[in-house]
Amino acid sequence: MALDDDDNPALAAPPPAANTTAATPDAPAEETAEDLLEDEGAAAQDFRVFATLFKKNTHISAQTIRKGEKDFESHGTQLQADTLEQSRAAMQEVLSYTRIHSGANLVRGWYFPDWWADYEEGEEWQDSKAEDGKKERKPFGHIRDRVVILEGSSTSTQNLGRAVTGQAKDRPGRGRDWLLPEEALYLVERGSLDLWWPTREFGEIFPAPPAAPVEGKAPNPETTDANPSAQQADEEEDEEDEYANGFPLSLQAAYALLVGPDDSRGKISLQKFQVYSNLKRCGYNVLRAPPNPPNPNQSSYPLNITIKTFFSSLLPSLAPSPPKSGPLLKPGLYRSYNQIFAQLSLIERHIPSPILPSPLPSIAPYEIHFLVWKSSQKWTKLRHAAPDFYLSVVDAQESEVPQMEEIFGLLEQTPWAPPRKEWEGNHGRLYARLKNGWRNVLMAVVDHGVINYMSRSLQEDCVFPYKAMVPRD
Amino acid sequence: MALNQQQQQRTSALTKIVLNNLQHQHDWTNLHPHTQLNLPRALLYGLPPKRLYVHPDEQVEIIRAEKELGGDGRVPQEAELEWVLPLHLSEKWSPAQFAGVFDAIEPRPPGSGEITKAEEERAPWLAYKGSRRGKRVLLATVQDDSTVTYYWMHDGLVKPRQN
Amino acid sequence: MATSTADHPPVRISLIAGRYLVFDIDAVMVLRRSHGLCGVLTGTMPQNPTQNLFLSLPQELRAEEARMLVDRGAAYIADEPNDHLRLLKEMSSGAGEKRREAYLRELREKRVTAKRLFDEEKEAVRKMHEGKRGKAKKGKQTQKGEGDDSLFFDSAPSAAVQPPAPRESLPAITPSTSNAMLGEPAGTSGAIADEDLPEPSAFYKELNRRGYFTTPGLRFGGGYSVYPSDPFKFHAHYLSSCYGWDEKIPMLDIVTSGRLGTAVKKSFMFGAEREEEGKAKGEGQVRMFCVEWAGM
Repeated sequence: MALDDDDNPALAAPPPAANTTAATPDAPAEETAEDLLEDEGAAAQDFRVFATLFKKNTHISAQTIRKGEKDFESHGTQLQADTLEQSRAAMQEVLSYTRIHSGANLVRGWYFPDWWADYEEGEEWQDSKAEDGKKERKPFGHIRDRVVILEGSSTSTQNLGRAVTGQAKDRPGRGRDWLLPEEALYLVERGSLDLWWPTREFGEIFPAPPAAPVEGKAPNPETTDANPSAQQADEEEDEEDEYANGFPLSLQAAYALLVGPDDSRGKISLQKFQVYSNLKRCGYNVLRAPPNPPNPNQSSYPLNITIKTFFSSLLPSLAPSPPKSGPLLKPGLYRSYNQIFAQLSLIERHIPSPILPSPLPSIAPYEIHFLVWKSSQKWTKLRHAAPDFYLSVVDAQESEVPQMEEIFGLLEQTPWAPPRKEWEGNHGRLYARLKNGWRNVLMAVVDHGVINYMSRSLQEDCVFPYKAMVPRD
Repeated sequence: MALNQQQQQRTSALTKIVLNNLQHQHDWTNLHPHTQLNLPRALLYGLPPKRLYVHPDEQVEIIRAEKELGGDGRVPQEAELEWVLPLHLSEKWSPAQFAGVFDAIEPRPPGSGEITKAEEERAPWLAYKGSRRGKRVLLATVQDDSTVTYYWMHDGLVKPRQN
Repeated sequence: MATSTADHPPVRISLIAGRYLVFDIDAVMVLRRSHGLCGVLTGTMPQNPTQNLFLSLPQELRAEEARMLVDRGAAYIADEPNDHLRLLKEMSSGAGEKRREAYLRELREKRVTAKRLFDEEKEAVRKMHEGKRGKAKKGKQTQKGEGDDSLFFDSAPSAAVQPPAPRESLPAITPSTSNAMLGEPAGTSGAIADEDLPEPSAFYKELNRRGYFTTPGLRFGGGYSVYPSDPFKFHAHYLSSCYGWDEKIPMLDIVTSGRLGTAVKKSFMFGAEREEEGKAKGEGQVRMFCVEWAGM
């Protein structure tokens, strides 16, 4: 069974949300502190079920398909020992699988870690889909970190990889897709990429294209690759020469080459990779966040919000401060609670604002690392709406609970995302508003391969008292 | 000296709060403070109105015994004396201090009824009140508003109850 | 399948960017069966890559687990990036020619096996379909169906069941480990000196000695989740935290952890190594305490 490749789902296109089996597309957004309390459901891996569900030609008996009940403790019975042994044997069988790439589905990548080492990334532009013919800026490409070049293309390049445009026409390997370390490793892991170690120079494996290919069109992975010369040549060559240009690498080697400390070019930390692949498996689209996120807070916003916030921010300070020795409340006759409440409010409340006069800098590791989009047919690596989630990856062992300034520094890297209008009002959806906050960030906390997602949002800290005090008449 | 005295007053106030709480809110009886030279502070011991702790293994023995009795047969569960350690929520204790408390006490508070070997052999669950009883104290944690929360602390690895 | 693991050669643990990984399924089984270690499987499962419930190799270990295995002589830790880079560069030049040949030979053997199994599978599927079609045709033919079938398949393209002709392309494969490249047995190339590795806590060693399995405790808010045996079969008994012998623990932490533990039917367990005169760190007695809600 181990080499059964006939209907290997790995070779299918990346799944739309409907196809994801185990996790709902909304999972990370919904996961909250309650998940801490859930029982081991997610942690329980019953490989006996897996072995029967995903292996072909298996005699499925009710006994093996039933999810194994866990016991409280060992009774020393043979039955218990047997079911444990079955689970272990099933795990061994499932994990002994070897990744196969059969002819038609072969996508080969080559590890050239230094090809873009000196590349200076500026802004790249592409034709806009809008009719005014304006150009729009391409998402930041992290070109220097791209270390694996794809030979040929696959369906996955719609979502992954990047071709570097603006290169000289006789530049070797021109127009090909390059992968970031996490993209390459993820594809290797899911069995969709055959990663090779080159033993020849780049130019020998990817000779400069003989003629100029189509220019000025938006890259289309299906058509840009008019020149799979290396691939063809390879098939025609003798067995002896099959490895003339290099040889395939193992999964272990892929990890050794592509996983590295945070600050090393062309590598990704294991924690970040674990989060990346976790999200990809769920069907999300994930891109590395640009190094200096274009400050979303400096773009222009409708003036009315600004003015409103500006004036409301003046309100508390207008109230006269009480004498130092008290009383808080000036003696007198009051006809409305509002006057009383206004005097009781001593500390200026924080009013969330779309404009940050001096945004706090983010403090490592509390930075935005990934931009995440829910699965969508329209999404492409170059054209997409604003991200659904801004994600920060934190190691559970190496970092403490963040300080306020770290949280603010993180939140202020994300755009203004106020609660929806329809949630407002006395009978509005208070909890939805509280949950949403004014800026949002997801934190993925990684503890040795176990990931917990937490959402943090900037709250209007006086949402209750202040809103309640607003005149009701 | 003054500081020491103040501290003593504080812990004795703590003990008093817990004692009152056990007596009046939780209907404990036979409550006694317990001092000992090698104890960092006074403990309490007393009798809860009903049995407070049943070890999971004892539970199994009881179920087995009740099955043998058949039908509606029940093994009576008499309350047993328990140790109580009064603490304030703002305190910080080290493992060494907790170990000190456990090292100083017997598993069963003074005045616990004797259970003979013969009795234990006849009714195996009784051993969990006798020779097989581990050391445990009830942590009585007092908050500033004099709310008291109660948690068991066992000495050593004791598997959780399954209810 | 081998169940005896006692004399398995030391397991290779790959140290990559400060994390400890195991790529060899045989090693994973040895750790699970003989050393009470389950680690965390973190890789995408190629057979079904769009789910997060069943994950695959590599297996991630905690530093102290890795160190404990090294101390036991059951594992060694390799500086995997440097080891790989060194060997790969060597294999690209004449110096590593032998290693390269050996690696490619083994790779080819695997590809041939893959091809054979692949073809057998295809053949079996086709046989099944043929069988069904035969029955669908119904009538007189069913009588001699059996004979016909075997005859038909005997005369079927024989290349499919025999070792493939050299010119026929073999499928490409990605092996899980680099064992074929590192040499067999994997050898201790690139091993890191013991003293450069963090010490395991006496607390963890004690749990392992008593046969408890541990997993990262993040999901349940503790240092580790502690299982009475293999988590495949058992629920965790404890959420645990390890402290210093004289480390002051806020009562609030004990109460909240106890509460959290009770909520998931576990007990909050904390422990510390007793510091004693004349005993080195890691040699002292380990005291453990369990906290659960009293229900009053």
